[in-house]
Amino acid sequence: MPADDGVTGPDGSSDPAGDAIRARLTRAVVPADPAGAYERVVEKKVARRVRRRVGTVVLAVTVVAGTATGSYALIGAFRSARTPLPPAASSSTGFTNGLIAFVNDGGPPAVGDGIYVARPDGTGVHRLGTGSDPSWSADGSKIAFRVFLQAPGTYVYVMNADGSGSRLVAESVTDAAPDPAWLPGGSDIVYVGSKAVAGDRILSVPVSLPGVREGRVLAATSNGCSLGHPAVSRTGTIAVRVLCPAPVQTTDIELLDQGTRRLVPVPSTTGAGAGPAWAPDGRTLLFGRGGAVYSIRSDGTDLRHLASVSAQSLSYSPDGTKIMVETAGAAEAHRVEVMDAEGRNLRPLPLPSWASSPSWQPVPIGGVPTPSHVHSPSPPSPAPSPSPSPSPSPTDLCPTTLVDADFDGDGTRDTATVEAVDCPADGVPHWTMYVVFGGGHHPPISWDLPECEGDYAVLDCAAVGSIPMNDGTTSLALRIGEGASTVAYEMLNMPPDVTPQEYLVTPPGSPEFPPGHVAVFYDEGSVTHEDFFRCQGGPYPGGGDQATIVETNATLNKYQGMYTLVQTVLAHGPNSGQAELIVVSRDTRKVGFDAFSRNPGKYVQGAPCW
Amino acid sequence: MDEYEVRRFLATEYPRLVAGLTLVSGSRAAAEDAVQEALARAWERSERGLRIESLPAWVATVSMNLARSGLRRRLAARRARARLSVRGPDPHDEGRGWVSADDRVDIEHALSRLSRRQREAVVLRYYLGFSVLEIADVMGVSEGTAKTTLFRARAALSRALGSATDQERDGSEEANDHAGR
Repeated sequence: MPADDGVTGPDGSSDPAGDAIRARLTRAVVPADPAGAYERVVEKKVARRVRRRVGTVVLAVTVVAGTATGSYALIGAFRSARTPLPPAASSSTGFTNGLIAFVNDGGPPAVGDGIYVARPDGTGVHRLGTGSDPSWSADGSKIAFRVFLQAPGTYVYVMNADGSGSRLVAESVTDAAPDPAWLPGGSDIVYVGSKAVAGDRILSVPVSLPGVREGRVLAATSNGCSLGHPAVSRTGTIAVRVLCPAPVQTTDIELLDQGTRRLVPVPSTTGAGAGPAWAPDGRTLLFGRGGAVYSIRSDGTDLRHLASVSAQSLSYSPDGTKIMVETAGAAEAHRVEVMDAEGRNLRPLPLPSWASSPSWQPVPIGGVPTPSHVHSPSPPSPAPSPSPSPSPSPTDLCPTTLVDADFDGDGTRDTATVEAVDCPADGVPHWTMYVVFGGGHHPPISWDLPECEGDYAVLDCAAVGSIPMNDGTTSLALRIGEGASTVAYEMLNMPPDVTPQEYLVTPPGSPEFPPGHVAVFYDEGSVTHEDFFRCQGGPYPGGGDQATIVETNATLNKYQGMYTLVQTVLAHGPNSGQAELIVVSRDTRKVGFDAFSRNPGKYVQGAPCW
Repeated sequence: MDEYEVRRFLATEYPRLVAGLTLVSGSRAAAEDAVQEALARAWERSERGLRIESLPAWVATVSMNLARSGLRRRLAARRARARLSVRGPDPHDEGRGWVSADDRVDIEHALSRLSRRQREAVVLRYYLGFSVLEIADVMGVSEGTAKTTLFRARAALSRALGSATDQERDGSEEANDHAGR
């Protein structure tokens, strides 16, 4: 057997078994059609560029002022304008420097993508899990990060400092990075989201209420400007970069007055291409512009040139004595460096060469307890290998969603929770659901959701809202999957003394569809339907017209063929000029409940909205 | 690396690489997504001045890594469906890319009995025509380990496909020898 191959036969000349395998494999699968592949490669390349925020695209920054409790710190930020600039390198910040979280994006393939941590001396490199853009909470106990999807957007997750307990917090419908950042106190996260039409928004979401949801809008742009990299001071003032494309591309750093929801430019920051980052004093901002790093008061005074270095990202060390800079060199090469707070003594941090998007963990001095391993970043014990050691076990990304509503009609709030119990990397999660009734009239109920584990369950199952029905009950809308052109929902009635009544709601296209007509469905050319459930364009003035279509006799195409339509309900908006159509169908796998034959006339009351 | 080189790769290497990855991962959509992503990364790296010795081997390595995650596969399927939903009536991945149902079932069943590493080795060798040395590079293992993996995979696959021969047994014994050194 030739040593260089190992697949020929023992005599070195033939390998019938190998040939047989080769033939079977070749017969089994056809080569792919490369049509359209080039465009998708370009899309991915552009998306990677956006995600890495590499290059010369300069986002403008909006600064949002606010605290977790809703008061505004903007005035305070301006009030500091006339006071002498305190040394940013204060050693009395109350924090010491912990681990550095960073991302492998574009590194060697042997090193898995994802979020890593290391000690500042470069030791102890290990992978926490999937994600990018890590952001430490103020007490260093948690990390917010994002998971990028091309459609519909990006998800914001939170995990513990050791990489455990990842859970979904928010969905950011955006083409760009949401750049999650923590509000003081660690109860809320701010991030950037966008709608294609409405422009970018800054949102906040409480981390204690996990789920696929969009946060509260703190500010929005309406002139095509993009927002990026919100930074929150320790007093709650939020700053972001802003890029306004027309008529002349401009960028700057701005503050958001949370009271008026207006963006307030920070003077002298035009052209900012990196940052902002807050100094520990909560009054000084860092930003990068044109190959230099500057500090400036939040009122635009006391602009100081700190160092001549082209920065992609900037941040102060938690103890305030250093500035960490992700530098952009020739050919887009980047590395993580550190300099004194005054801008002197720039030197590389001994992190892996592929480290990017660094975030430094604050460790409270005798303060908030955090996991013990987080508190012992240095000096380390038996020094682990400085080389990266990707974890073989992926991060636990079990999503959980919940919806509050009065499901049992007793006037109190009930909570329905949908969660994946375990999330194997190479398998389908096991999904369950449970409901806790607030009034104490009914015991909690729970059941498995096998429909979330089928072939069509390519979307994570999620409790997406509640729908008032025309008979006075409230149903839970459960998103269970995504077909070729539809998102599939189940509507669940949950009186605890009755077996959950299951409906399937598959909203197809939105053609002009007068009441009384028979529904016709096409195999293609449909539209995105999830918007209907998000009340885009609704609710309808005057309540809209409701009409029930009896028995459509329609069958969804083969990709949606797991459902048989039994009833459609039409909501015709009188002012929209276009009908909206909800199709209620029955899951043929779950025989035994025909909602409309047993409850004739039952339909969604009004425009569902959540 | 420029548009010409990318298009040339798509026309020459891409079809079989995607098909091979389909054999490994079981999903054509995930395979397409992984290879496209890997190619985008290669392109980006070349623009950053980083040299790639062998583009096919590099893309194979990275796409194998990308397709290894079940989560990524699920997300890839989702993105693929989103794309296809506006393009045509055949958005479902089920059965796509396979020649015949019988062959597909047989091969799927046989491959499913192999470890992930064995599946990769078999496909790299017998479908994509990589040498053992190249397989070792792609899988990040020594040449001896690659050879052992390949022998065992071949024997297991032959048994699963009902074509075990003395040669496989011989090969398996040799593989054991390799493993014992």
